Amino acid sequence: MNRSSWSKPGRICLVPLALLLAVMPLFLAGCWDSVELNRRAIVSGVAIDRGETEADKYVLSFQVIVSEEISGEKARGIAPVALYTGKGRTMFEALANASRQTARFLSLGHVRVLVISEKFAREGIRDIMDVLERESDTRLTSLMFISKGQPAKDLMSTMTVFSKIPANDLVEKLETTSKQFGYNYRLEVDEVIRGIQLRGGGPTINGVQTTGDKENAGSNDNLKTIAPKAILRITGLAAFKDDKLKGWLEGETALGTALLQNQVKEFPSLVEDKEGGFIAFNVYQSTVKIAAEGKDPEHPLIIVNISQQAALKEGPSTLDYSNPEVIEGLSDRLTAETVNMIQLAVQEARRLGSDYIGFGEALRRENPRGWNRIKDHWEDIFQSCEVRIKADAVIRHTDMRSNSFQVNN
Amino acid sequence: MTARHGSSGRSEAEAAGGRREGVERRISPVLGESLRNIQAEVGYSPDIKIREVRLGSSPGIKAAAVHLSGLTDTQALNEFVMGSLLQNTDLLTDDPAVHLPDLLLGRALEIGEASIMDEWHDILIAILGGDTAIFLDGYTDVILCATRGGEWRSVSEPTSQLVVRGPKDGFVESIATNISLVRRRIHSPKLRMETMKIGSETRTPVVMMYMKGYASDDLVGEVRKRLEKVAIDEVLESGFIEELIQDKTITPFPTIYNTERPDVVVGNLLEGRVAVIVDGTPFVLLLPAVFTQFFQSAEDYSQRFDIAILMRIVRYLSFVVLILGPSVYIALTTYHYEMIPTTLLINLLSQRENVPFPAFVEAMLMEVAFEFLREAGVRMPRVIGQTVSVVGALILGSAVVEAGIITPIMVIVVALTGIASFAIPAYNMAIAGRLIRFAFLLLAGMFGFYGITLGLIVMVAHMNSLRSFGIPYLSPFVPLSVRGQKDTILRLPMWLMNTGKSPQQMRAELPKSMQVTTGHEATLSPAIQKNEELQQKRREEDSDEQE
Amino acid sequence: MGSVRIGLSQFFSITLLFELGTALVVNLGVLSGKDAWISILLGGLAGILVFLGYAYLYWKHPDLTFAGYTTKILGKAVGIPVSIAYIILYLNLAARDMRDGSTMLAMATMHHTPLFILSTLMILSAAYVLHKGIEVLTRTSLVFLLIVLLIGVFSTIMLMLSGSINLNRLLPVMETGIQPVIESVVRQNYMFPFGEMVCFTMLMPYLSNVRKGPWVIMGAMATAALLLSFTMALNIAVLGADIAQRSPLPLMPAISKISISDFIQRVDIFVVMVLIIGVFFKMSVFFAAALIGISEVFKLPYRKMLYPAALLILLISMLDARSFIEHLNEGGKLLYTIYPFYMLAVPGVLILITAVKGHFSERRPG
Repeated sequence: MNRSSWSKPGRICLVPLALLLAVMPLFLAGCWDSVELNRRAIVSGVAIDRGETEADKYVLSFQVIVSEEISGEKARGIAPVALYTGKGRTMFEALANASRQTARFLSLGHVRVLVISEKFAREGIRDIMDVLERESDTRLTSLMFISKGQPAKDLMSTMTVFSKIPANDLVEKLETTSKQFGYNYRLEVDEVIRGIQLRGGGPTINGVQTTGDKENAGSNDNLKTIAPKAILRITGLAAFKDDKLKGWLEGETALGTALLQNQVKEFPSLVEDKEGGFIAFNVYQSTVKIAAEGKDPEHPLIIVNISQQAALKEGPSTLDYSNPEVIEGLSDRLTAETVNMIQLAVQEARRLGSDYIGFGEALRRENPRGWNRIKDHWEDIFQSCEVRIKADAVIRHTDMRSNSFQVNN
Repeated sequence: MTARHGSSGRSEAEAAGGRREGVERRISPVLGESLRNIQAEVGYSPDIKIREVRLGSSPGIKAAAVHLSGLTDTQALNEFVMGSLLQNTDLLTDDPAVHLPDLLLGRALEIGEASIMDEWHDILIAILGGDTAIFLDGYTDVILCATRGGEWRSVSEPTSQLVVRGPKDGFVESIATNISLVRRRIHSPKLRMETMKIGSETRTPVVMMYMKGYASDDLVGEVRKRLEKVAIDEVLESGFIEELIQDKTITPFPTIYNTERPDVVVGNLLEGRVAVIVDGTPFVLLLPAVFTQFFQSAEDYSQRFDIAILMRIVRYLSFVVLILGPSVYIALTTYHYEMIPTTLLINLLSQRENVPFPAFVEAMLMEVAFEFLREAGVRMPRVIGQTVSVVGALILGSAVVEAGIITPIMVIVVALTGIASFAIPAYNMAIAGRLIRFAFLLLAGMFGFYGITLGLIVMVAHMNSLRSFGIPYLSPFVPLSVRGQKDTILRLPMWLMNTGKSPQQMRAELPKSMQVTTGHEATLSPAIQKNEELQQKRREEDSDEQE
Repeated sequence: MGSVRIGLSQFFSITLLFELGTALVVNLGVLSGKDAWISILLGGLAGILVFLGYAYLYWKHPDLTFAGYTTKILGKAVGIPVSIAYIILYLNLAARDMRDGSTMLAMATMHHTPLFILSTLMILSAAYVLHKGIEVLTRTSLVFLLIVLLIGVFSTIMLMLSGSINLNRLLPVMETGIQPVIESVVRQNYMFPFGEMVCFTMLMPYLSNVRKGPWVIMGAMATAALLLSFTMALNIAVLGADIAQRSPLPLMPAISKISISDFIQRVDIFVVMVLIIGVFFKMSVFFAAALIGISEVFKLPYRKMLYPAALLILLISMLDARSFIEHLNEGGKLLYTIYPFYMLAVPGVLILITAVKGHFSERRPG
């Protein structure tokens, strides 16, 4: 009797005991992947420059957030970010190299901005992209930029007014411009990779540069005047062929390109007035569809369908805006403006010899077999293929007034 | 009165006691001997009162009323027992054919409840329970008058499970009052009760209550069986019984519900559950209990259904926060920092600068400190208790942050889990959550989300392996029953609920193959098995002695 | 065996979780490029057809496990070795699955934690759950299926809101014809994950409803095929066929594209959770199948071999290969060399014998 009542609790105890024994060493051995937050150096942006020699081909500059300066109570009045630079034959070696200077683990999980120097971009960015895609810590949602005409490192070391972290400032600037005025748009790592893989084409990447007094851009002095001495600003689009930068797109060409890529949210469009001056419209919606007729893949027909909605923003003329015919006429000219932009964009793409617009993809969707036959010499066909643009713009309203006020006389 | 027998009868009585060891004590026809036996049996306790009287005209018949002072209703004793005994003298005759106890019982005694008994042990227990025993010289039959009463706490608002709207009465320590509180709400002959005495020394009255036709016979039989099997010395609270009749003992989760509220008991009786009321405690057991029940409150049915659903969702959410709050924080900051939004991360980072402990240790320290606080707050006298919580929560919290030992965010997380634990209506479920929280903290500290996920799987599997009197603990979620969802997270409007069926009824409607068998030996808890062994042992010892 | 019965909804959930298992996160049907989703659907169809065969055997012997009716049909001398071979298969599959899971976990988040520790934790949890019984495993699956589906719905909505889905990336459908799709189905998709349903032949005697049971399981398989196909299509629509093809866990980068105003971001931990849950249940089902087999063939109590078998699975998974590449390569080979023998040939023979026997025994009285 006694024995049986002993053995039963014994059996129950054995399992947890065994588990405890199994778990205890785990606890003693420590937690392999656990890293305390104050052992991390959070990297907000990375600049990638081309070194002088092959031995230090990759010059990586890491913009590390000094958190105490940003939200701590014990701020020392030093810079909100610190820049560490490492060199190496590969990206990974450069990272390892840079970590020698940092007291903490360089953590790439929050990299929001990747800036590649123009020099590197002209040489080719394929090798850079591999590690960005492979590494599990980095994120595919980081934004890519090309620094226009200056080392990428400069852009990581420019003090900015609004966001204390320059990388965040850059992101916010991009978002503002893409929402309201521009042809720049969010471009993330995986989109660049897909762009590079575009047969006969390449990605288009936002450009960025600093203007003004570049010498003192990295110090607090930059912000002491009302007009900052150096300003970080978004510029044109860098057009690539495969992974190499071919040229910069600016103004209407860039806008046309962004339209073709269906990435424009809202932009101002101007129409010349007969009486002189301009009438300004806010185009707040534009949808582009690119189709192809490719029965004969050697001579495809690319059809660009674009429909836009706009509102009159500024029109100081004597036109009668309450007359539908006038509005109709204006929207026709708006359409013509758009068609012009797209034509400019296509011309520029042909000039650069790169189908970054994606006409080839349209043909491929239409006629995959034909595409397979011609894809090797798509560049030639792209130069000469017929492009038909069907544009349609609607002016939905004239905002808060109908006709413009006139000087009474 | 007792003193007269006290010193003179002691040695004799003890000798008598010694002589009778192991032999059934009987009521002697000689009144004095019976009284001495009683005195000896209770060890000459001063609270046993013996009033010797002579009935009828001189010389009359010797009689004695025995009761325990403090446990009896003095008014009833004086007026209806003693009064009626001494007044109705004309009834008495010397006719030997007349059985005097029957006569008295039938004609004289004015008390509402009385009976005749001749079992020594039962009489003793009755006296110890507050009844008055009338011994008559020359008879071995004793009249027992139900004079139970005495001082009890009066019915007042329950201290746990408060509601804003709903009945405000709560159970008290007296089992009779408690039964009446339930009876008062169900005027139905279907309400059935079975009484038993549990506890070899305390002989505590325990009442099993159910609605005939609502509770399945299987269940009632099973509860009866398990209650009968309980063998312990003392039952001071329903918790003693709870632990011995539940299906399984090694689990932090409660599988039997307890409540202080009569309306909850009534509601559950009508859902087909069985209530076990234990004398001496206001906490009534309800069984079987499933997981969802611990998240229900009496108020859910007083409020509109949409609001009730919202409140329930809040409670379930609070349980999730309670068990996972600190561990998710640890996993996020030490393993998956990339998931935290950048600006928040910078904030956390600057808080963590110069904090000496790893986040895991920090969390452990704060959680343990919070447990101290809670325990101190509960046990302290009410006036000081509030001071303790104010000092603890406000001063300690801010001082610890000020000193830079703990990050403010950790104080927030711990305080949040603390508050979440109070949002769970059932205290025993909240305690279970508090315990499990530490396990998850450990897992998160070692393995991040991997540990948490595996921990969740094991926890859910454990809950799935639990049964409360044969009902799967997670029903009606698992096994899934769509009709059973009426009163779980959802609380459908009354007009939809009334067509509902109790879990037991639903179980009966399931296909035979899915019905869970109750009451076979395998599901009994080790505690019950141990008890059986103990009983067996006692029986053997007894028989040994008899030999 | 007969006493425990498992309800249909639980069988549905365990089947669905088993099928989703690792398949949900890996690049399934990768051989057919952007048409992976088609090959998954076809694979599912083929898998259901194969399962009909298992169902036929089950309907003929509703109270017997695979080991049981193999011995009955083929006789003890042949049946027992065959059953043992199946037990080895299940142990191996459980081990391979665990290796898959722990390595993927190590690749995704736990870079420094030793594989052994990850696997040990996993197998201990599985052993605990199976110690509680197969019924508990299936019930638990119901809860976690809900969690997986919730994560799926949440992620899909979030992906839509963050505008990462571009259906053009799925076009053109079958650009190089149907051949790569068929090839992918033949080499992989009918076997993985659908052919692995062979282990359910060990569990089906627990079904509470003999007639409906297999149909419910097939329903779960069809649902799984749809969900897997949807997921793979989603991956491709988000990442493009090439990136999806080159990622061992395409769901992770796809989900990591979710970014709602920089607040909800990098929710790929959900994918890791799905991965853990999937691997856990898949491995546990194989584990359970092996245990049932062992207890039946060697006439041992079910729980007795639990911990030894757990140790065995742990060791097999650790010694399986030196690297993940080797492991995957080996798996790919097994998929069209050894597994068809187990999943098609042996059941095929059994079906044939049963059918022929049935045919003749029906004739005789008539």
